[in-house]
Parts: sequence; C-alpha cells; structure tokens
Amino acid sequence: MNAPWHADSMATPAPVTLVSGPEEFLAERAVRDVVLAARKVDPSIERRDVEGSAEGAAGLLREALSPTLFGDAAVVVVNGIEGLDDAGQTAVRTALADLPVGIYLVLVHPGGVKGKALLTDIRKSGAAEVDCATLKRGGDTIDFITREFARHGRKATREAINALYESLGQDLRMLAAAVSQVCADIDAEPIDAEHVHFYFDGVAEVSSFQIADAVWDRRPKDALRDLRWAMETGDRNRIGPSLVSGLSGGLRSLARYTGVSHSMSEGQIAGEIGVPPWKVKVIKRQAARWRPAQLAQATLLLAAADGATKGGVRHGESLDPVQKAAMLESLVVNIASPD
Amino acid sequence: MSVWEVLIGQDEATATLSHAAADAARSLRGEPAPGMTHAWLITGPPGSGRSTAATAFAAALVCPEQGCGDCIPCRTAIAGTHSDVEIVRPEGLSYGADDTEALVMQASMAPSTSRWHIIVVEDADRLTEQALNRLLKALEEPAPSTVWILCAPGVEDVLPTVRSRTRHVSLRTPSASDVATALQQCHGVDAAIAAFAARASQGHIGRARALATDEQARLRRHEVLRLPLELHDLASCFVAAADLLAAATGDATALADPLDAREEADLLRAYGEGADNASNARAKKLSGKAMKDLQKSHKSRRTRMVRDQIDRALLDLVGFYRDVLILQVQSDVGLINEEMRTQLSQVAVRATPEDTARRLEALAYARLQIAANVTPQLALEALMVRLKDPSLKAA
Ligand SMILES: [Zn+2]
Repeated sequence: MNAPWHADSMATPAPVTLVSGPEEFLAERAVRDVVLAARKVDPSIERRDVEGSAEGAAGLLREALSPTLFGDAAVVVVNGIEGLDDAGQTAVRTALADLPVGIYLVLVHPGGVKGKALLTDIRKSGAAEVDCATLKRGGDTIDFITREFARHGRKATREAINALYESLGQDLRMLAAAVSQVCADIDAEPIDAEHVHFYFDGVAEVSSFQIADAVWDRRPKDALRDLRWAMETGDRNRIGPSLVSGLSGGLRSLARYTGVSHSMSEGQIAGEIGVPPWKVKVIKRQAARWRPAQLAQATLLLAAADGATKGGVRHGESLDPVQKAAMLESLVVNIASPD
Repeated sequence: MSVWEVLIGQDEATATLSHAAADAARSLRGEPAPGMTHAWLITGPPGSGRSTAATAFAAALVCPEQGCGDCIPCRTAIAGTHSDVEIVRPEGLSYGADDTEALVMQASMAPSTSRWHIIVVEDADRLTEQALNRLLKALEEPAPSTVWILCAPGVEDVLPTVRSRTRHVSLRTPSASDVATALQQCHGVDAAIAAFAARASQGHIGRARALATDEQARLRRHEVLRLPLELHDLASCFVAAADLLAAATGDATALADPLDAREEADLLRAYGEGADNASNARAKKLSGKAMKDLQKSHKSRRTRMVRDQIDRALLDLVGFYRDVLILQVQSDVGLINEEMRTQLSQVAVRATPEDTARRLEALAYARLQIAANVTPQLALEALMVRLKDPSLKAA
C-alpha cells in the first residue's frame, strides 16, 4: 500500500506507516497526519519520538513500544531510521513482526541508500507508505498549491495559484502557510489573484514592522538590509506608507514610554501607553537606547518623510521611484543612528 | 426672505451677484445684459460662505423673481434638489477627469423646468489638473443656457486659464460684528455667546455657528487651547497630538452624523419609503446598492471633515499664538482669546517673540502637511514637538 503524500486524510491510520523522501515539510506533515488520525480514534493518544541516530536508540524504542501501566495507546515516531544501529534495526523488525496492541508505528526515512535493507523489509511487511519525494519545479508545485487549497476545502483560480507560485517559489512551508492565511482571511469563492495580492500586502506590513523594530533597536545595518529586501520583493508603492506607519507606531510607544513612572507595573504601563502587555518588554529594551531629544528629532524626520512619500508638501517636491527608495533608505539610517 | 440675506458681511459680492441675476432675466427678454456671464469663480477664505453664495446665486437664476427665497424653485435650489441645479462636491480628496467628463456632458443638456442649467462646483481647488483641463473646454465653448459656478479658497488655487475664462467674485472674511449679529438674528443666540463665537471663529461662519450653538464644540475648543500649556516633555507632546485629533474627530462627527442620517432618510424616501411596513421594506431592498454607494461617499466625506476640523483646531492654536505675540510686543490690538488672558500672559513672558514666530511657522507647516495628505496624527506629533521646542526645524 503506497499512498502519495497528498492522500485524503485517513480515517484510521495504518498500524505501521513509512514516511519516505527528502521533502522535510511533507514528511513532518505526514507524521502529524498519522498522529491526528490516531487521535480521532482515541483523543488521549500519546506521541513518543525516538531519534534513529541517538545512542541506545534500540532501548529507547523498546521502551516507547511497551504499553504503559494503563495500557494507553501511543504513536511511536522513529525519526531518521537510516541512522539506527544494528540493535535498533532489530528492534524495528521485531516490532514489524509483532506490533504491541494500541501502538501505531511511524518510521521516517529521508531517502537515499543508507538503511536500504531495513527499508525493503518495512515495505515487505505491508506498511503504509507516504512518498515525500522532492517536488519538481512547476507542475508538481502547482499541484501542491491546488491541493493545499483543497485541504482547506477551498478552490482557487489558476491565476491565484500561479501568483502564489511566482511569489514564493518552491518553499512548501511558506506556500502552505500562505494558503492557510489566504483561506482564513478571504471568504470569496473561488479565491482569485487579487485576494492573493491582498495577502502579500499583509506580508509588506509584516516586513515593515520588522524594519521598524530594527530601527528602534538602533540596528541601522539590519534595518537597511530588510528595507532593501522589502523593496525588491514587495510592492514598491506600498512599502513607503507602510514603513512610515510601522515606524510611527513604534515611535509613538517609545515617546509615550518616556513619560511613564518607573514604579508602574508592566500591565499598568501597557494600559498607559496603549500597547499589548507583551510589547512592554520590547519597548523597555528599546527605550534604554534613546534620549527624548533624539526621539523628537525622529518625529520630525518621519513626518517629513511621510509628506515626501505622498508626493511632497510643497510644489516641486515629488520624487521619482529611485529618489523615493533613496529617501526611505536614508530615513531608516538617519533615525537609527542619531548624533 | 430674499436668498441674499444668508450671506453675512458680503455686501459687495451680493451686489454683483444680484445684479447678474437681474441681467440674466433681461437677457432672456433679448435686452442687453452686461452683468451676466456663463462662468463664475467665487473665492473666499474657508467659512466665508462660498457655497452659500453659489447656491443663492443659483436660486436667483431659477427664481421667477430673481431670488425671492420663498418660491419652490428658490427653496429646492438651496436644498440642492432642483432638477436644473447640479451641486458637485469633489468628495474624495480629488476629482478626476472622468467625473468631469460626465459633468460636462450633463451640463450641455437643456434645462428642464427653468431657463438655466446651473452647475455649482464646490471646492474647485480639489479638482485634478486633468479635470480642470477638461472643464476648460466646456468653459470655452459654453452651451447657451448653462451657467458654471466654481468655488475655491483663492484665485491662486485654480489654473490661470480657468481664472481668465470666468468672472471673479471675491468674498471677504466677515467682521466679528457681522457674524455676531447674524448669530443673534438667525439662531437666537444671546449677545455674549454670539460675540465670543464670532471672535473665536476668526470669521469662519460654520465654525461660529457650531461654537454658538453647541456647548460640546466650545468645550472641545477649550481643550485644544489648553494643549500649549501642557507640553512639558516628549510624552506630553504625543498625548497632546492624540487629544487634538480626538477633539477634531468629535467636531467632525457632530457635523457628519446628522448630515449622513438626513441623506440616508432622503434616499429611502426617494425609493418609496412611506406609511406602511411593506413599502418600507421594499424601499430598503431597492435602495441597497445606492445606499452602499451613499455610505461609501459618507465615509470619504467624514475623512475630509476630520481633516477640515483638524485645520480649524490648528487655526485656533494660530489664534492662541497670535495673541501671545500681541502680548509680547505689548500691542493694544484686541485678543482673539480674551477669556484666556491670564494663561496667554504666562506663555508670553516665558518665551521670546522669535519663539512665538517659530511656533506660528510650525503651525503653518503642519497645516500644509495635512493638506498634502500627511497622516494627521504624525503631522500633529511633529507639530507638538516643535511647539514645545521652537528651536527645532522641520526636517
Ligand atoms: Zn424665488
């Protein structure tokens, strides 16, 4: 029984599953699918992981396979069976021949010739196999994206799928995350290219916050590198406004923080300056690097830059795309390295 | 009451426009009518009553008695519902060539019930250059019964080519006593409040009306004028910016809410909302798309109103620092904010006239920034930072 990685999620997992092939993301997901399917049968089921290359893996495996006092069921995952020593391999063969009751065994092999003999024995034993071979560029990956939408019970147009592929390429983890996010954000059916662009606008926001954090951490080099990257990969017209808004959000919290009393708790501070409590630590760390006068100067720089990204405040101030890029770069550097 | 009576302190403009309306009637009888022309440009500072003047003129043109103020044509023209009077408000931040194209097409059609087809363009300064160029063609080749009335803050706000093809009527800033008298007459406000509102609004009639009739508006203005006294450190500058934004949003909401509600009710009525539930339900269903469009336009109008109200608040602060300057140079000119003399004097002794001049410059720059679409909160934060420390320069 050899199922491709995209087999419909199984009703009941096979007692033994072989996950084979180098595509890590697919392999991880195949393992997770077995665990989830097993939990559907028995929600209390436990997952026990054994590393094939670990010292004394055979003993660890035997221990994992042994039923607990209460006879609870478990999914036992052996990662990297090519790394098992002879004793370990014997332990696997024993389990294949006589699997303890209530145990689901998942054996993960990354492909390649190492551990070939064991692999052959596993296949002969009648284990279910999930093939996680590397996806070829183009067709294979496009199919992957299509099925990712199907996993969420959704349809997407050809254009939407191509747009995702063109933006994220072969990175399956990113692709799966993008599909999941788009499905969560968009109710329309089918999902079209415009919705996908909407998602990437979101990505631009995220990278703006990253740049802003580097600026308020006073890491001008990182800020500049992230900005260049954002301008190369994102929507150039959006990066200006979204960077300014990301920076001014950070500045606002820092400026408000300069006024809080040191006797306040983090929770009180969060309320006072209007940020979520987890951000207070970040702001504290950043605030230690600034004097109020520097932040005042940054406020003026930022307001001026906002005007410049919007076509200039006075006549004849509008910038061409190259000037705009240069303006944004000098903005992050100037703010992040004050005198 | 004649349509001209709502124009406050604008004797000269009223004379020109009423003479034009009389000549328009004469021209229909084939008599010489030098006072009338087919394209007008009405300018005046914000709040001087440009739109009011334009609609009064439109009413005078469609009225059989040149603006009696009581007949149906007069009343519908002023309410914006007359079929031959088109009032265009470029509601987004600008109005494009396509919109203008449609307008020009419409303008070329013959009037339906009156003798003139009148197009009032409020805020012609918000038209894009392409839109203005398209308009230019229409002004050059006017349809015989079409009258264009463009409104803008100043002649410098429209293209010279548009200026040269229109007859210019300029409104002045009404004097405080003109405004106060009008507030007492039209709104029954008592003399003291009318005088305060007239002074505090610095000639802006809409603002004067809000201050005279809405106590919340007075409170918000008071809050804004306290802000200069509260700029102790960086954090308080940012708090002040947020407070000013909140006050302006409050002012905009007070203006927009009743307007939105009235226009939505009008729309439902137009779709047959009436006495019984069945017709109400039908109106609601039929008006769905139109209602969505209307609400969308309300949203953009609100954005614009918030910007306008921020500008009003900034003008209040300009008034504050003008008063400070007057006290610093010990001029005997009257103060705009007489009731704050004590606080103003404290600010005056703590700073030099040069500081005050720089603060006024910072205010002027912030107004420019907001007009140029800079995020209001950011522009206000930069402003407060400079008001606190006037030696800082805009970057
Ligand atoms: Zn009349």
